[in-house]
Order: sequence, then structure tokens, then C-alpha cells
Amino acid sequence: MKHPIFKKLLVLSFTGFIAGIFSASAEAGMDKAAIDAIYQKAKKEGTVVVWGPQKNTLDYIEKNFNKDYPGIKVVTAASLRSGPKIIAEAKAGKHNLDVFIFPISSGMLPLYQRKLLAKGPWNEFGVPKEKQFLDGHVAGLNNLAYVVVYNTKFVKPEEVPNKWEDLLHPRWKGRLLGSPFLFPHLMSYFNLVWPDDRVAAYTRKMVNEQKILLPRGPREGFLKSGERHLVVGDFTQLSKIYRDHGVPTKYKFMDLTPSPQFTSAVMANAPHPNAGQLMAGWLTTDTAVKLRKQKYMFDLTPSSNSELAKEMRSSGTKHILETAENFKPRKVNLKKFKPIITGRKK
Amino acid sequence: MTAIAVLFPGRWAGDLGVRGVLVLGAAVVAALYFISAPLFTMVLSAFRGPEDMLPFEDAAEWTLGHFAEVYINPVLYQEIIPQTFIFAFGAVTVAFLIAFTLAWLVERTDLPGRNVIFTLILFPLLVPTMMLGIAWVFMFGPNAGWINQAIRFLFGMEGGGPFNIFSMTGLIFAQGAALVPFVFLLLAAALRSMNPSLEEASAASGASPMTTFFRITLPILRPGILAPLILAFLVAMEQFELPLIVGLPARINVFSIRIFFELSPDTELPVYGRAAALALPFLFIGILLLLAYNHMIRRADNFVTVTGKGYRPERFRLGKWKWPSLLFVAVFLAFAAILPALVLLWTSFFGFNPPSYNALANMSFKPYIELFQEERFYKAIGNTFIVAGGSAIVVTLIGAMLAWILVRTKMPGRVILDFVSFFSIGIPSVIAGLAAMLLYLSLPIGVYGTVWVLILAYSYRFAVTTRLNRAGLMQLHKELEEASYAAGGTWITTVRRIVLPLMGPSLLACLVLLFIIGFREFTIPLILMSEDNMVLSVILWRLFENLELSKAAAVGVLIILFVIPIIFLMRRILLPKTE
Repeated sequence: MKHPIFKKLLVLSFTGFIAGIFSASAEAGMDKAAIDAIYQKAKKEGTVVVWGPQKNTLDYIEKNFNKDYPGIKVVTAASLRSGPKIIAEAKAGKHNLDVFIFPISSGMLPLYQRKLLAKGPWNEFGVPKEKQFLDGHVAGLNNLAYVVVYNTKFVKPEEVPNKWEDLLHPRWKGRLLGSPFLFPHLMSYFNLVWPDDRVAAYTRKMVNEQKILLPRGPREGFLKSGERHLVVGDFTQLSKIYRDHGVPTKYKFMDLTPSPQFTSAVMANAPHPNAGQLMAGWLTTDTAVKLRKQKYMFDLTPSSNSELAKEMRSSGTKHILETAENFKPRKVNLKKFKPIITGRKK
Repeated sequence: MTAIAVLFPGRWAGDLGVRGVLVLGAAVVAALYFISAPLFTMVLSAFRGPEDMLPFEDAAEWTLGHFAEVYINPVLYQEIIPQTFIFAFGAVTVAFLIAFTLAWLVERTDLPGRNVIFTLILFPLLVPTMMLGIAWVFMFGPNAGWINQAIRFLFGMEGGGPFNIFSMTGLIFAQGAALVPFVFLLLAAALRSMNPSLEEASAASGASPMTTFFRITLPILRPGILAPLILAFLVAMEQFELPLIVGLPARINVFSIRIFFELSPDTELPVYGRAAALALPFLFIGILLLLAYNHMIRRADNFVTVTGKGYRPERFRLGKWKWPSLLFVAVFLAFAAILPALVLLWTSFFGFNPPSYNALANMSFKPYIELFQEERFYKAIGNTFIVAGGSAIVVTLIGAMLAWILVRTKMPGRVILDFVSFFSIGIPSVIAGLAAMLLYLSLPIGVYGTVWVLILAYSYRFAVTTRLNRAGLMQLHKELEEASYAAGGTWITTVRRIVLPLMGPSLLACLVLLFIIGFREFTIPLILMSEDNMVLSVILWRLFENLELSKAAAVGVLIILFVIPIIFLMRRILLPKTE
């Protein structure tokens, strides 16, 4: 093997062999023949309708699904209020939706309980069992992570907290910001780990002493203007979006990291059932995972090797993943602490 | 004719004719149809539970649980209700004082630039309330508010303030300013229709302007003043946008905030039942206020100012008061209208960068360019005009007919009609949207998912049109209609050629108000949304939720630009040319 070209060929062949092994591993779980059969039927249907909570969770689908599966028109619609609409339309016998993307407990569970979801093509697409929920009706896509997000222009490095309770320090009075929707949920997650009195005391101090601002409005604007300096319980994804918009932000994992689980499901009476199955399966593929990463949406489940998952684990935080099982206790927790935040309870 | 005499007893019966009865009957049926769905949905939802079942589902049960959850709470009575009343009274007082002064200056004096000022006063109505609230925070936030920063810089002050929007005072002024256009529009209609001869007679008798104002003008204007006061009070009570943005951070807890939290998806589904249980008191308060209103205006003849004898409305000469008046108008417009609109405009070009010379280098037209490149955007513009205009015309005309029945006839049941039409103000938009969704999903008329379902869903807001048109009609002497009948005119001819033209100011106020409300309404179209009936407010809202804030602000700016010429046109077409 003295000839240089021969050496290059050998190296290239070996590299290709190794790459082939890895790609084969990634695709090993996928039943390509079955997927192709679904695709052929989906093409005849011609359209797939996908609903999700926000436009940025759907944009990548419209632009990329057809690259893998041409010939199927993708129609998306974003609304945080889809649940009652889906239920009302189903009751009236109208089914306008093929695939639904939403967090597992706030969106999927009510539909699952009303038998409005079909089982997805998870086996055909090689989705591991630990990423299938609600008896195989939904598949996990990505997670959000509750962190603190701060404007580096107004928060000195030495001030950056390490634990949620560091924010009770007097230095943070009048500087904190939160969401009137997310902050109560954060408390409900805390209560899975902390006892009632600790969470109640924390909530009361935050609203009464630290004067946390909970406006129904863009936190980005308040951060950028400097009206408030740190968001208590925002998402890593949003921190990056704020940075893209010119706000000098960083995020930090605290001692606890609650983590909602985004999922997708095919509707039971989808008007385009095969296109729905194909789309729901495609959302679980490596292609879709990569596209979501570009939008800062990462998988944080225990088996994930995403960058954010690694970063989270290396921070030493305790990860509290949203599951259908911890939904009930969180619902109970929410009732305990939300009235303090909304002023209905002292 | 017997049936007509039964339905419309009194000497008017013979004048109506079959066509008149059909028109009025159709108006009554239409009004009851439009309002019954949201009203029944609200009342029934309040008694359907549990919270994880939607009210219309088969598994839902009758329950008083929502009422227990909401009303068995000492904090409600110790804190929330008192704060709510302080907030509502304060906001209405601020709004009324400013709005009456502005309406007087614009409609009864020779203030220069009246038409422009009229349009500018309406600006806050055009800006979505949430954006208005954010604009107020950007201007008066204690730490980084732009006005506060400017004052601190000018006077060398340290620390926060001097203004703090996050206070009861801040909230009252913000809400009061937001209510001014609404109250102004309604008061301007009443002032414009007023015959000044009574005031002139008072002045000729030696009474001072103050005496004339308190003893002649105000009593005559009673219906025209009470109607906006009652409506503004109810609107202030059920507003939650500004209390959420400005009040909650200051721990000011008003009743309506709870409605928002019940309707925002919490763990599973919105709790419509609890939201309905929260909204029901507004109906009862509305009933009480309407009873008081009806009692205070029971002698309709006392309020007539437009008679068969011609009159030319004279405008008071401001003289030396011209510049103080202009200053008053300018200060209000600057803080309540122009600055928030400028914040919106700035955000559309510069994002959330505070205004500065350096920030100018980052100006970007990208939000506008991207909007104009979307086909969906143009469709939304067309849909919005159709829906806002269509519903405004429908509700205004039906409201005018209802007002005629209330003022001119003794039809049995008209009191109930009056109350039912008034109830619409107590129905949250989300309940109206839910009701429309359920109704038109079950009716096989093929409107669900189209723009027509939006027109139908929007057309339940009779409280304002009935009240306003009633006040306007009370200013017209019935001799004007009698003269038309005596000359051989039919009822329809009389209404078309005499009554409606003379009611021009109140009709204009209704049309403008409903058109603007229709333009910015987003709760109902979000619920009934489809690809075919997308409107601008939904696009704005979705951009907002998606954190595309400059683009959302751009849509807000464009909404203002679309509506302003419509207001100008409406004023030109509907107001008599008397100047």
C-alpha cells in the first residue's frame, strides 16, 4: 500500500463504511417499506393540516416537509386556544385537523381523554418506547426548560443567581419579571420537590416583597428597556430569540429545571389520515430534530444527547420532566399557589 | 291593522303600515337572535361543570360549583370588590371630565382644526389595549420609562420615578385615557344635536354662562350624558387588559383579572363556566344602572332640542380661551394618543430599542416588506373591512330601529327588549365567540369558517347603539315625524328621509365605534379562525405571540392608517353640512 491514491481510497472507503454503520443505526428502527406505503396513500390525499401553539413551532414544517415528501400540501395554523375548538368541532362531526402539536398535559391529555387521538406510526418510524406517551397515542418532540433569563447589561456576573431562592435577596427587589401564565406553573413544578409551606413562602415573597412584575406583554421589551433585569421562569429558547432580536441576554440553569414536554399526535378522524400519519412520523425523524434545533427546540429527555441536554446535566440541576403521571399533582399544586399570585389569596 | 294596533298601541299604529311593522319586527327578531346565543351560553355555562369539562359536552353536569369557587372568598369582599369600584369610578371620572371638555370644544366652539382633532382623539381606540398598556409602561415605568428618564436627566434626579405607572393612580389615569375616545364619541353626538336656542334664551335673560351650563345645558343633555357614563362604567368594570399589565404588578386586584386567568389555558381547558360565573354580576349591575337611567330620563319631552322650527347650531367663540383650550387638547392628545401611536410606530421600525440618535441607524423596513409580501395579509385586509363594516352597519341599523320602538311606541315587552339589548355589554367576547362557534357548527347554513360567521358573531353589541340612538332620538321632537305623516309620507319614508338624517351624529358615533371595535376585535376571530376568514387583528395577535413584535407593531400602525380615512369619510357623509 505504498501508492498515495490507494491510501486515500482506503481511508475514504473506511470512512464511508463507518458513516454507513452510523446512518444505518439511525435509520435502523424505521420500516422504510411501510413508510413508503403510507406516503403513496398520503400523496393521493394531497394535503395535511397541522395545528400547533405558535407559529415558530410550525414554520420549519411548512418549509421542509415537502423536501422529504413532495406532492403533499402543508397547511398550518397556530393558536394557543385550539383545544375547545377541536372538541367542539368533533362534537359537531367536523374534523378539520390531521396532526396536533402541543404540550402533553395542557393540550394532548384532554383530547386523549375524549378519544380524539389515533395511535401514531411510531413503530414504523422507529420512535423508542420511552418517547411514546399516552398509550402510544403521542410522541415526544422537544422540551422547554424553565431557567432565569437576564439582561447582561443590567446584571453583573457576580449577581447571577444559582438557585431560585437566591432571587429572594433584597438586591432583586423591583428588578424581576415573569409571566402571569408561566410563573404559577413554575410554582406547581417546585411543589413536586419542595413542601407546600416552602413554595407558599417563596410565592408570597416574590409577589409581595420582591414585587415581581407579571405583565401580560412581551418580556423582551421590559428586559431590553431595563425596566426589569431578569425573568424568573422563562425558557432557554426564548433567551436565544431575545438575543437574535438584539437584547443582550443569557440564561442560567437553577437548582431545579422544570421541563414541559411538547408532543405530536394524529387525530382520530383526520380528514387526511395517511398524510397525518406521515407528518406525525416525519416530526420524529432526525431531519425534523435537526430543524427544531435550529429553532432552539431541543429534546431534554434522559436518553437525549442534544447540546442543551448535556449543558443542563453538566449544570448539576435537578430536572423535572413533564409527564402525564405528574400532571395530576401539578394541577393540584397550581390551585394552591395561583391564587396567591393572582391576589385571590393572601 | 288590528294586529298592528295590538303590537304598537297608540296613535302611531296607523302610521306604521305593514311594511313598517315588518321592518321593526325583523329588527326585533334579529336583535333577539344575535344576542340570545351569547347570553344563553353565558348563563348556561355558569351552571355547567366540572372545570375539566367544557359546558357543551355531554359529560358536563349542572353545578353551583363555579359560584362557590368564585364568591365564597373573603378576599373578594375585603379587597377585590372595593378596588374594582375605586378603579372603575376613578377611570370613569377621569374619562368623563376629559371627554366632556373635548366634546364641548370640538362640537360647540370655534376651536381650530376640529375635524383633525376629532380623528386624533379616537387614536387610543385604534391601538389594541394591550399595546396601549405596554406603551404606557415604556413611557412611565418607574425604572426605565422614557418620560421618567427624560425628567430625571433634565432635573438631575437619581433613583426611580418620578412617575410610577404601577400604582392605582397610574392605572386609573391609563384606563381613563383609554376610555376617553369611547366617551367622547358618545358625548360629541349628543352635543352636536343640541339646539342652542335654549342656551341663547338663557343668556338673553341675563344668566351667566355657568348658570346656563348647569341649569339648562346639563339637564337637557341628561340622556346623552348618562348613556356614556353607564356604558363607560360597565366597560371599565370588565376591562382586564390594563389591570393585567399595569395593575397586577402593583398588586391591584380587580374583578375582571380573574376572567382572564380562567380563560387562559391553565392545565387543560379554559374554564368557561367560572368565567361566566364571574361575568354574570355585570349583567345585574347593568340592570340596576339601566333602571336608574330609565328613571332619570322618564320624561322624554324634557330632552327635545330638535324641532320642526329650523335652527342653526352656533358655535361659541373661545376668544382668549382659544390657546388654553388648544393646550388642553394638545396635552391630552400628546399623552393619550400621539405618544402611544409613536411608540407603536417606533417599535415597528426599531423594535424595543429606546429612542435615541444612535438607534436611528438600526431603522428597518423589513417588518413592512415581509407583511406586504404575504398573500394572506391582503386577504386579511379585505376580510377585516368586510367584517368590521358589515357588522357595524347591521348593529347600527338594528339599534336605531330598537331605539325607535323604545322611544316612540308602547309596544308590550319593549322594556324587556331594552334590558336584553343592554345585556350585550356584560358578555365577554370569548363567551360570544364560543356561542357563535357552537351555534354555527350545528346550524346547517354553511357559514362556519367564512367571513359571514364573523359578521354574525360580532353583531351582538346592541348596548351602545340602542343607548346612543335612543338618546339621539329623544332629542328629536315627534312633530317632525307627524308632519311627514300628515303630508302623506309612509313610516319607512319618514324614517329614511327625516329621522335617520337627523340622527346622523348618533348614527355616526355608533358606526365609527363599532367599526373600530370590529377592526381590533381579536378574541372572536381567534376562536372562529380558518384560512378563509383571517383578519388583521388575528395576524397581529399571532405575530405578538410568536415574538415578532416589530411586525405586530407594523400591523398595528397599518390598522390606524386604514381606519383614519374611514372616520373622515363617515363624518363627511353622515353629518349635516351646517358650517
